[in-house]
Amino acid sequence: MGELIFRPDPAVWQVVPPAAEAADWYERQIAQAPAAARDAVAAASALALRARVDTELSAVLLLIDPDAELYAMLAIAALDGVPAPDSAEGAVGIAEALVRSPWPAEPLAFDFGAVTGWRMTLLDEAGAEGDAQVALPQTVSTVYVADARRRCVVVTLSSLLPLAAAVVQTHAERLIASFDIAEGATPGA
Amino acid sequence: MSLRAELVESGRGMPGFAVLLPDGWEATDADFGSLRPRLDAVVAQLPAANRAVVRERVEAMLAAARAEAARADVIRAFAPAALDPQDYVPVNLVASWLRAPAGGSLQDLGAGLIANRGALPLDPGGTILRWSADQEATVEGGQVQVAGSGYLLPVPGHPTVGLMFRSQILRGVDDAVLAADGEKNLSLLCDAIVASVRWRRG
Repeated sequence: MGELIFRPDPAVWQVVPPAAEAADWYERQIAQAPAAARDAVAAASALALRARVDTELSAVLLLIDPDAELYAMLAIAALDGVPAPDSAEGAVGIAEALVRSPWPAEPLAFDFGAVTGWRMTLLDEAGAEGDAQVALPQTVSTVYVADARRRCVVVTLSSLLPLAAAVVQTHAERLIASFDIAEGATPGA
Repeated sequence: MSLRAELVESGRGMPGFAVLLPDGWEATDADFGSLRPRLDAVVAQLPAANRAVVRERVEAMLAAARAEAARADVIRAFAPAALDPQDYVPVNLVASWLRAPAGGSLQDLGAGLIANRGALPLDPGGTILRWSADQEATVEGGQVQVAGSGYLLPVPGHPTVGLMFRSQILRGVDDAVLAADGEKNLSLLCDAIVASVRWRRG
């Protein structure tokens, strides 16, 4: 299968390196972080490394903005031999299998030309306030199910406050719009 | 049966839902019990000489609100939780069950709202109806203008019951008027809150 290629904006995203480079990358993250945000940067970087090392994801990207106290992780999986779903129901099924929520995912179709698909926003049960009658979720998760040259690419954005999610979704969508499949290319190149 | 028991009884068997509130907003029960600490704090900030009178007025307003909530099958009221009067944002959103008249369906109610109130779909799927519900009232000799909207959502598994939201934005009192941008932003905020409703899977 061809490799997924994409062009992350370096002003927004860091591509989390594979295990061989993990220790150096982690040390650099800590060293470059403002003192007040060092713990948060360390935690976000460790989580991103774990996702990168423990799974067979195509790539993991990290957004760190200590001034805005914004930390987001984007996990990208290009599925081998799996065609992209051709309906919102299929995309919702993938999203709901990835992110467990008592409330259904809300699909929104996108079309970036060469890349099409659905964005699903899911309300997170963890941390929700309220009660059984009226729940007040505090965070949302986002799953993109994209068709890049007939290949299914699933992108999961970490749990975020709704306003932060709205901001990071625009960054994520710029990245998704750059998706392409090329034989022999290096992921993230 | 107590008022609270009546309120709980009226909502029994109805599905739960989730709603996303903006930062700093809170949900208040239909018996307004959770408002008590905040009202006490506000009254405590007043000059001692005025407290008794204000407290009496507040108690009367709360009693009227509780009676209205029971009559209207109110589920929750949502509003910014500012304690400091300087941070007060003049908006609230009330969620209630709306039951179709005997023999009718929610679809009939929706058709009536479209025909008589100019209701239009809020969302691309057309599941949320929204209509303008501005009000003007005379309160203690002054004119109070309240902008707002009504929203109606179908309730899964209950063809004769809808989930209604009613937004109220204090547009102006006599000559003091909220800026048009402020009113528009608060209106969009209420739209977004209602559009975030998701029904819990059964």
